[in-house]
Amino acid sequence: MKPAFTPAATSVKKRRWLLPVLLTLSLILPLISLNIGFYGLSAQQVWGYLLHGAADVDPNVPIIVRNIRIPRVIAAFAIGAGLAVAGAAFQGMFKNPLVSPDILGVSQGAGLGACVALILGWSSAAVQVNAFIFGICTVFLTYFVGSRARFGQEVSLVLAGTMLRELANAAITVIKYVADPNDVLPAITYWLMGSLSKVDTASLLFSLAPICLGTLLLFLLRWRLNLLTLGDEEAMALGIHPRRIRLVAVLAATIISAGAVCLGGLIGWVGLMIPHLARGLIGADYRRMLPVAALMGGCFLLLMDDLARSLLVLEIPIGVLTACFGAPFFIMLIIHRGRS
Amino acid sequence: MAELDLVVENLRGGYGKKEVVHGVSFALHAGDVLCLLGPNGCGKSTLLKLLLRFIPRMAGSVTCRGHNVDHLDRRHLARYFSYIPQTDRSSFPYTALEMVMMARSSYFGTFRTPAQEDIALAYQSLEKMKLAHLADFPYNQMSGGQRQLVLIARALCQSTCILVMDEPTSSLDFANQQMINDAIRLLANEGKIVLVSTHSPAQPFAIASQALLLRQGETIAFGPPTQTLTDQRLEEVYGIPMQVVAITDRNQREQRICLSL
Repeated sequence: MKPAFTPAATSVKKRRWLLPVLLTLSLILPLISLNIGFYGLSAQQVWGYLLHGAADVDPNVPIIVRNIRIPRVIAAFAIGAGLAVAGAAFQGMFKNPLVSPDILGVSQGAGLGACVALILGWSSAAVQVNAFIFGICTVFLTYFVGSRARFGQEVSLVLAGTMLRELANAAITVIKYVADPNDVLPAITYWLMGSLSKVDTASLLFSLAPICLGTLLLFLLRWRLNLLTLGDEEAMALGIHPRRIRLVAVLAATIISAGAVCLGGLIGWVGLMIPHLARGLIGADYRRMLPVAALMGGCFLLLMDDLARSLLVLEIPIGVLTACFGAPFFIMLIIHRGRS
Repeated sequence: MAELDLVVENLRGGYGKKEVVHGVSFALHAGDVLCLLGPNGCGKSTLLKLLLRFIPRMAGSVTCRGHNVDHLDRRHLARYFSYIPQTDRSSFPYTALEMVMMARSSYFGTFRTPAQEDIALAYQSLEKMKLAHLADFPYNQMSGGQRQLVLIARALCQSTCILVMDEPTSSLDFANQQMINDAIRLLANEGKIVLVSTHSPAQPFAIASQALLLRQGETIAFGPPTQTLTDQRLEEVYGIPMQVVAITDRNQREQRICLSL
């Protein structure tokens, strides 16, 4: 074999410093974020409470920090990390780096579930649970419809997902149309925009369970996820069952997304943008990419939530903020890809 | 002659209810390279897919080193057959080493990741293909020939006795085609059985010890290329006037090429 090779590309950078840096950031950022909010608390008050307990001062401090800020900070981080991990997994499964976690309809399904619960006047806990159930059921339906189609599994799933997403959207529109414009409609609109303002300890714990479980499952499958990006035939020839792995991965990514959506509403772009950035920084291998995406997603959404709380007097819906970052990013991506 | 290492008997199958391959049989020894030749739609790719069990068989049996492999699960089938697809550009920037390492997946559990020895094996396979210097380069930015070699290295790393290649040279330029041919000869010298489907009727003369001529899912001829690939049979299969020409090149090596008249 004589022909000399002229390296066509540059070597993938190892960037061993990235994970430690992200880990440090993931510890510092939440602590800083605890100091941000509507109720004017000084850093001394917050830190005094965190370090010495509720011994002195303003009786509001423990309530605000423990019941509002800590759950909210954890929620922002968990949702960001979860959506990034779910997005990364879906992108690999569908061999398409432009896929986001709602590809199979989990977000719109959850949105519909929330709308139904809101128009029926259910409690906020029931809204969350209903959103979660609807999100999961939509994906089951997508999977069922997709497995009936006679295309390859990936194409069938994407087609079925698109169909069910639009169906759920139509149903949401109908509900918005008939909803009472004085109280229910604003509640629906606010929910659909995505916000962390209603997070409390109970709702956090309810969502944290599926997010953690799904993330753990995907982390365990991290090497197998690599093989799914090759397509079913190659994966089979390499000795694995792509359909089985994909089923588990879809399940895991779905409970993550459903958990995230039912807690924070429809927060877009994180699950598309973050895995992409992570892949660009550390390479495609899920063994390294998955932890990096999780930490980046967590930090990113926490930062967005800090901005949402502090930029204006009125809280900005976090979904609007992520879109403000996400959409330009997407356009940049398309232009860049077109070039290379 | 040694014991037969791959025996395929009466293999039938296709897509859905439509039978595309109508009972193909052949037997090969270690070190054999078999070229599958025939016009578009003759069932070359289908035959390979049946062997790899990507699609279900309607009949037939496959025996490998005396073991019947018809009912093995994927994990164990992957110890006998490795697959080298036509390359395409993946959207994901896996490095060459990572691509090759994926071949070890059938050797460890679902929740496990490659161990140090898997990495070493992957690196050795790349070295054999003279690609060690590209181990950390993204596969999807390599040239077509390099990508094909990475996939061959991956098949090597899977440590199977049979390698199945689907038209490995059809999208490559001339120099890269020769490079792949060299790689196939190297595999054969190591005692691997290599099955290659091809669109070039001259390629069997360059690399193959056996040729299988297919038309509409039926075997027209099977045997050493010089005996099976006659003018008459090639004309019959491709439906155009053809001639096999033997020439001696300036290195005094005899070569055969195919002409359409």
